Amino acid sequence: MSDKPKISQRPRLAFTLPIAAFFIFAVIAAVGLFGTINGTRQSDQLPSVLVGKPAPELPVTAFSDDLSKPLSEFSGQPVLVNVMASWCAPCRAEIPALALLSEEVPVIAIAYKDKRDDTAKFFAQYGNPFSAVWMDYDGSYAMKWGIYGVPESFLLDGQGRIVLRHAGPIFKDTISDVIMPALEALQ
Amino acid sequence: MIPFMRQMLLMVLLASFLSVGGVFFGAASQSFAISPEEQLSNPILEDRARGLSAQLRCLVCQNQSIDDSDADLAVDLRKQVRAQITAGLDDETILDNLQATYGDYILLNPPVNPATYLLWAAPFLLLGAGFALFWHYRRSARSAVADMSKDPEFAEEPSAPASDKAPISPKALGVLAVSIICTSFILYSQLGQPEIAAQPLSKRTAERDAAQAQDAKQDAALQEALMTAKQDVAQNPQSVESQLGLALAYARLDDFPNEIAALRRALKLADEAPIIKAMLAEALSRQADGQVTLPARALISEVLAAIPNEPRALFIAGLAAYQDEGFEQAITYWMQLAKTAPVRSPWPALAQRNIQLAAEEGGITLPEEWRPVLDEDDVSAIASASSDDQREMILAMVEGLEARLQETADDAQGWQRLIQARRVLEDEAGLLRALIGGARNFPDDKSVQLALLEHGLSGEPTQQWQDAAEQALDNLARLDNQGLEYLFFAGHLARLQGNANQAVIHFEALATHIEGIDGGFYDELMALIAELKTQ
Amino acid sequence: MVALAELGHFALIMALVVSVIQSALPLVPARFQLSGLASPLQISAMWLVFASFASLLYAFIISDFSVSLVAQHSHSAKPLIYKISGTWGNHEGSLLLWIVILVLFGGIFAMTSRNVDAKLRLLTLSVQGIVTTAFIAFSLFTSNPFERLAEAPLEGRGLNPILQDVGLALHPPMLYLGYVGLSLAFSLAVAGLIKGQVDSYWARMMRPWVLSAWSALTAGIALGSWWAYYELGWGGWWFWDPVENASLMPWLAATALMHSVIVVEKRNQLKSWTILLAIMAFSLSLVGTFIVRSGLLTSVHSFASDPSRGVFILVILLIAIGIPLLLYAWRGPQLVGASDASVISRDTALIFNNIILVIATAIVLIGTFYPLGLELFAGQRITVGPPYFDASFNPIMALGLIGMVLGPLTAWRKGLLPKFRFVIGSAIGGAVIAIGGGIALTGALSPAALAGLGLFGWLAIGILADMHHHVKWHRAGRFARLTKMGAASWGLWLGHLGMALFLMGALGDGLGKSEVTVRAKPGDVIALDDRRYRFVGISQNQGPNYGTVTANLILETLDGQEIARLAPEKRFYPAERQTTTEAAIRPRLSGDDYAVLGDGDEEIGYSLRLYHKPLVSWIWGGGFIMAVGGIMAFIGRRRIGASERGQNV
Repeated sequence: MSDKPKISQRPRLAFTLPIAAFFIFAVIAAVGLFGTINGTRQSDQLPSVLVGKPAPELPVTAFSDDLSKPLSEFSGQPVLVNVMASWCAPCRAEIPALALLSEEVPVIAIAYKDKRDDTAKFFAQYGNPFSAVWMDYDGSYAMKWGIYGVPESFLLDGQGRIVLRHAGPIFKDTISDVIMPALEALQ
Repeated sequence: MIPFMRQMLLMVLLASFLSVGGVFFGAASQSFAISPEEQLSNPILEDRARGLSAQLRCLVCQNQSIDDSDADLAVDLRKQVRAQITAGLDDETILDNLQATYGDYILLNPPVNPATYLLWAAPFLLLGAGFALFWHYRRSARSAVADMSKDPEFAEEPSAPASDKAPISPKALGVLAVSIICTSFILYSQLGQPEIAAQPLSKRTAERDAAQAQDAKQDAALQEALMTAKQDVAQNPQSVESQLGLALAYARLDDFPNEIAALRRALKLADEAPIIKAMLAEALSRQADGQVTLPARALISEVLAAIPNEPRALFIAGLAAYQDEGFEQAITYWMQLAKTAPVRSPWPALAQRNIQLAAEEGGITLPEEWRPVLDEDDVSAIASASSDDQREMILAMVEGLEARLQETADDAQGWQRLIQARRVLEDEAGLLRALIGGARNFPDDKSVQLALLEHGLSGEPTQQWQDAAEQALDNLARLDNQGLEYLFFAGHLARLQGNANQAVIHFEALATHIEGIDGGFYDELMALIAELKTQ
Repeated sequence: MVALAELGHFALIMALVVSVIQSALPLVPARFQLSGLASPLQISAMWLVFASFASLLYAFIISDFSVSLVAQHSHSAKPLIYKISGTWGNHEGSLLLWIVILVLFGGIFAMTSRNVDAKLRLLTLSVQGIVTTAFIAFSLFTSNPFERLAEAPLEGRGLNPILQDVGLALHPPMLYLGYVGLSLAFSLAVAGLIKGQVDSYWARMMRPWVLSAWSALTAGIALGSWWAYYELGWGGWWFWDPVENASLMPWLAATALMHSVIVVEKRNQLKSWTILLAIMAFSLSLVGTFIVRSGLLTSVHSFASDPSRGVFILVILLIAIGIPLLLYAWRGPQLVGASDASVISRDTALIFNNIILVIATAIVLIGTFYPLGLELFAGQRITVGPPYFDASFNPIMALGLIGMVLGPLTAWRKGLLPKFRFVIGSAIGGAVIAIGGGIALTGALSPAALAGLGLFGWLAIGILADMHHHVKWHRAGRFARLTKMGAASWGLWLGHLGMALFLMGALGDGLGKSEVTVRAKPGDVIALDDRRYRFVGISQNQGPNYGTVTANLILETLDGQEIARLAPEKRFYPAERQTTTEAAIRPRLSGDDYAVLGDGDEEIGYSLRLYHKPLVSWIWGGGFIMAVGGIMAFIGRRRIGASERGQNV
């Protein structure tokens, strides 16, 4: 072609910009996609900004007198605070795993927007692995923990600081993959 | 005593609930959003609340502001916003408070910070780049004009397009057509399912009516069974059997609370019998959509402490371990179940299936004798063959197993697999051979003797079976000291062999044992005896 | 007898094989004399895919639940229209529809390109064949719509009631016409790139495809927005959701392409740039598909997503975008031409247009993917929501809107057209009047709102003045003058005027919307602005496959004059066990009255939300006028052809 001799004068760099931009897009898409497939990317796990900060307060009403230990009674040791509700299906699924976990670390429940009778029925049917159960009738206390769904769990260190937040039910592999490593890091 | 059939009928629906599924956070697309009650009475404050809500993301929704969403969280956040407005906080403080609890993610307007510098700079960078590109283009285009005294391209009129009249060689065309059709057929043979007929709805009215009638009939039958069971309980309030019958009737109607209540009554009447405890554990788990709950686990460990090989308890214990993702533990329980449960009960097959699943799930390699008759390579080979070839291949593998067992006859697991394979293939003669082989090689295994004997109950009993059955009866007599099963089968065999007197003796002995326990069967038995006596 | 669906399945497989051969034809040595087969192959692939789609459609119509897709997404009690539209109301079926349109465009090209240069035609059909192959393979191997069930259930699982709507019946086919129509521009671009020859002849071939795809895309987006407006029940019409952005990006790129093709045609300039735009426009359509179907980004609108399907689409993307862009980096520099155009010229105006549109596209792309990138590479989660786009996209587009009046006033190569004084004067006057009117009508307004109003005045009056000028200076009678102006000019005016109307609709809804949410009992009267709603009562009815609760409302003036009756509904679909709300809308040019019924009962009253949305229907009206403008320009191309060369559009 007639303009072939001119090519050498023109910087060809500009013509590689589109492929470079596409490459960036493809890398982001591929990393995101494969992360989603092999489970390393969990878009439903939002990082909590409260990690590293002192835990917000617990509700003031206990489920029953023998399940009314405040956080202060556990100070010096790690605690798991589990926000649950009798009306939430995944909360039922995590009870056996929480029972296993309660052998390692005390588990405290915040019953989110629940009625005492319903909570009682829930425990009768599925068992009660909790060391203390606090009733958050209108959900206002749990909101201070920054929850965006139930169940959600917060691991607190001996000083009452939040070290970990897990959204969604806890299963046995959550314990071994997420919670135990965090517990070991505390010791 | 709990009759065998009843025990089996209360059989586990649990098998289908291997894991517990739960729906986490749903997405709502259509919504009414803010409800009248949420609004603040002061319209100015309410306007501020709406404005703030439009800037906050509903964290569990998919790209909706809390102002647009019906999600619980959106409602809660709207309440928070309004509470803070009423408390006199200004907009900025409210946004800061929410950001402090939920992070930047909640703000639809991304805050300017190191992580978003690039985002916010993008429009300016792009504008700059755009104009740089424009300037560069103009310079190079102008210098190109200066370079060329006459740009041939500039004056170029579009050349009259050559018309497309390329000749096509008929030979190549033929080859192409044939290869297109052949390739399509090859691909289709992999993907297509031509053997499945179309099922247009208009042609299925009869089928639909029949299915509906069947459902109605089944419902009626279940209701009637419940009525009978209730009457039975009313007549024999202290009978364990009656309570179990009632529990079964409720279970079939998926009425778990009532089933559990009946089982609890039965448990009390039967002095906390472990077998009923296991049933209760099962019912509790079914009520929890298959999850083996903590109370159910407590019951199971009590049962296993009392009877280490109680099949139902073993099954549920395995299930609990499976649900905790303790696959090895689950396999251990189920292997124990497969080894100890009677061959003719459904347990071994269920256990075998679940062992495979758990092994697959947990990535565990099973020992040779626990692998299925067909391993994965076999299965994939079979899957890729046509349906006739498939049967041939399976048959060949089963024949191979049978031939091997002729030499290594002491492989109990092998015999069990052979029996199961023949049963699945519905090969009656092969099944009988397998049963005879198993019964002969394991004279001390009661369940295989019984399985052989039961085989004769269906269809026309052959001479081959009768011969083997005599041997099996002898074994049974030795093992069981003339228990109920012995009496029944001895009577049955005598009757087949035309020895009515002998049959009557056995059946009468059986009748005295079961009188008052299993009403229906007792009546049938008495009728049979009467009939034999007339001969 | 073999089920019809199996024949459809076979036809689709055969279409795959045909497409593979069609793609490979340029590689076949000339001595085999097969190159003439490209068109027949493309046309037969078209009929095969049509047959395949028809058989699926038929399976939906007769509710053949032995087809897995029908069993999962249909229900015997559904009205026929939704059985039909249900065919593409799911991932597999919509993918097949996508392929149908792909081969339709390929087929039309094959049938109408008899006179096209043989090599260009062969290459174009080959590229089109590659895209078709990729999508049929995607369909057959990951999302086969013809999957069968040996045990056909007696009833289907039903279609999401929100999707049982005319909007759904029309919106996806229209949108796909746009997305996939761009495939032909893409194929032509890649073919031109391979052949190394791009000239005004090439551009003239390209333009009808770009214009028709652009019109369909515009109409498709407008339909989708309209559907969201009336169906989702909170009166929103654009949410900057990833899926919406996915349709906006190709639209912006296609708009740029539509303009740059003119420069190639008239001036033999911007050739490599136009090629890039054509590749970009279709690539962004593919990226949109990727977003919708991979579940990589969460969206309100996506299909049940499956990341493993995403992998397949990503591979398609890498091939269909990566290779052409590599080719572009290699061959693009050869296509740079020379230009002596001055800064004030039509050439420069169109370059300015392109820069603005591409920057806008890039902003949408960055805003859509930035949170994902940040999450993956920095572990931080942020949300890029409407406020970001309002702050970045809107000002850039405002620059473009100013240019929409100025651009047509320039001459090719150099200078301004004589009409420019008159038109610019009018446009400035229009802007001043619009701003003044806005302040007078609604009191204090934000600077952004004033700018918006000013833009509307500028744009609307500027275009009208341009039209007026043409009428005035033409020799024949007025009406004849307008009709004689040529479809191409009408295309320009309508396209730009539609944009002005759209802008006014968005401003009217944004600035003048009033809304009230109350809990009311029958007999209550609810005031809204200078009118009021009388809540007459609740009635319950039975639809074809749902039950309804309807609130009967009378809209009246404050002194009790009845204006209209509105009946918002709640529907319960027993088959799907879902409830939907159906807003009642009284659309008028001056604005919509929009009523929604929420929860409630006789005891506590019913929650009602009532809106008045001034001018909101102009949004879609503007969209459709733009689409009509595109069609006019398309017709203009066909009729006027080369005779118009040199004349100013």
